[in-house]
Amino acid sequence: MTPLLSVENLRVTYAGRDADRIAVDDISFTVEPGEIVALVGESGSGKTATGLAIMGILSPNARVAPGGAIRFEGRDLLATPEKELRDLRGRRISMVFQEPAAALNPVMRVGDQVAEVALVHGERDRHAARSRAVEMLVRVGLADAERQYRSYPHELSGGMRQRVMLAIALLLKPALVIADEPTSALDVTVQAQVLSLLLDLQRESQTAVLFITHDLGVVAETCSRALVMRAGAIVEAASVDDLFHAPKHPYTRDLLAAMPRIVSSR
Amino acid sequence: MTAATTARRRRRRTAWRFALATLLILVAGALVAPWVGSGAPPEGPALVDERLLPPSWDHPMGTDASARDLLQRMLLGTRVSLGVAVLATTVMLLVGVAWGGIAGFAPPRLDRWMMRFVDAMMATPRLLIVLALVSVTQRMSVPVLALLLGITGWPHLSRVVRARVRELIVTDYVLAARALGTPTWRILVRHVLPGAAPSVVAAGVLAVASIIPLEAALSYYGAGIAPPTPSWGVLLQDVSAHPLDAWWLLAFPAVAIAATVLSVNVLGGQLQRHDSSGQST
Repeated sequence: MTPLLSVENLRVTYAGRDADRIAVDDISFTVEPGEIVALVGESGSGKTATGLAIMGILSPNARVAPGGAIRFEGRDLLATPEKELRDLRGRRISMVFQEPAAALNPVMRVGDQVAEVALVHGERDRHAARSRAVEMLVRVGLADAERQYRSYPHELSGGMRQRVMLAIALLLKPALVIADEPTSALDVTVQAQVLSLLLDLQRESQTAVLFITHDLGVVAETCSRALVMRAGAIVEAASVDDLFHAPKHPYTRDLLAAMPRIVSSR
Repeated sequence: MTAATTARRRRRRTAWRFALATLLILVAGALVAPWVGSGAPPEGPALVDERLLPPSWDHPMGTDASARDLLQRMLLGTRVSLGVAVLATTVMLLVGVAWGGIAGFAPPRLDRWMMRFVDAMMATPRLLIVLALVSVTQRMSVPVLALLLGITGWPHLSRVVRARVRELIVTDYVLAARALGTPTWRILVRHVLPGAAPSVVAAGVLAVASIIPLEAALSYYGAGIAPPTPSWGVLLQDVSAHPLDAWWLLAFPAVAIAATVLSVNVLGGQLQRHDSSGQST
């Protein structure tokens, strides 16, 4: 089986004042269809830059070094024209951001923001887009979706906002979702709800997820494989079982040791 | 909240209401002007008898040296002055939003050139540019004057728009929109310009306040609206030909100009405050 996503020798640099800063340093990995892969590491390790590079929406001062490739559904995204990339984004591959409060337009009704995905991707009928959005809002658990369609982001709680983000990302049933710390900005109790919603939606639409996180607890719960990143490089790639039972790299061991745990006083 | 800030807010609200009421009265006056009278001189002996009459029941604002009713002339002048201001502001908004919006989205090189041009325009006194343009204009009319004032007044607006666009295009929701495959023009129309609208409206209202005195000054010097068409500046020009004993000829246009500029500034200031407080929530 060919992998859904295959990242080969990806290097991302940011133009700095004096010298270029390397954010992603020659990484390679694959994601199979329907699989959940964790991309773990501390902040600044290049996780988000990797996600943005796959989406092709790095900031203008970032550069992807030649020689690498990002193959998605068989074609190299780095060699694909922007117009075709726009067609893929949101439809075949989408992204959930860390801060739903910032990633939703504050002056646009949340329902319209969900419907926007359909409108951008060729839906001509506004009513059809609207009813699809309402349906999706119901699916992600917004009680009274018709009314909440008309809410503005500030009228919703953090958990609700992230549910809306999931509705946007999964409306068109993409083959791959890049979830960049989707639960880190939420309360612990809400985290669990949003996470289980993401897993439900993932199972339903057989979407693969690249799960970017620093939370190893979440990794153990949700992912089949994990890639550990440090200073732009992947230092360890293993199944979650192996990672937790037999971590090979010293950095992985440090990360595991740094996990907060409840110690019983037996 | 302290008592002092509460009192300040109440004062602001009162000022705001006065400003709005003043402007509404002026706009209403401008709208009904043609039905009140033509502002033409009377015929027959009244042409001589009714010169320079002080305010009375027949002529609430008095008459001028040509025996024309000043109230009628004031209403028509309001129509002309406000018309010029609104038209000129529309031109400023169109050019300023387009220029600033493009510069905000443009690659750094183009952006730099566009903004240097704006700097150059702002460094040149506006009255000078306007007078130069007026001198090469064949027929001065309300739309032409508005166009001249508009195309010399937009640089400041384009700076406001560019700054706002620059702030908005680095937001996460614009990044999120890109992640959904939204085309650039759609991002501009759906996400960036609506976010910039409140600042633009506030800046546009304040721009009206800069146009009114400019138009009055130009018309006063005889470089703007040509008599007998009345504008507030033209009415002031009438005064200079006559001694100050006809106080009403000076007082009414002057008060109209001052009240309009003051009201527009109060209104614009309020909108600006509203805009910036809205952003912080």
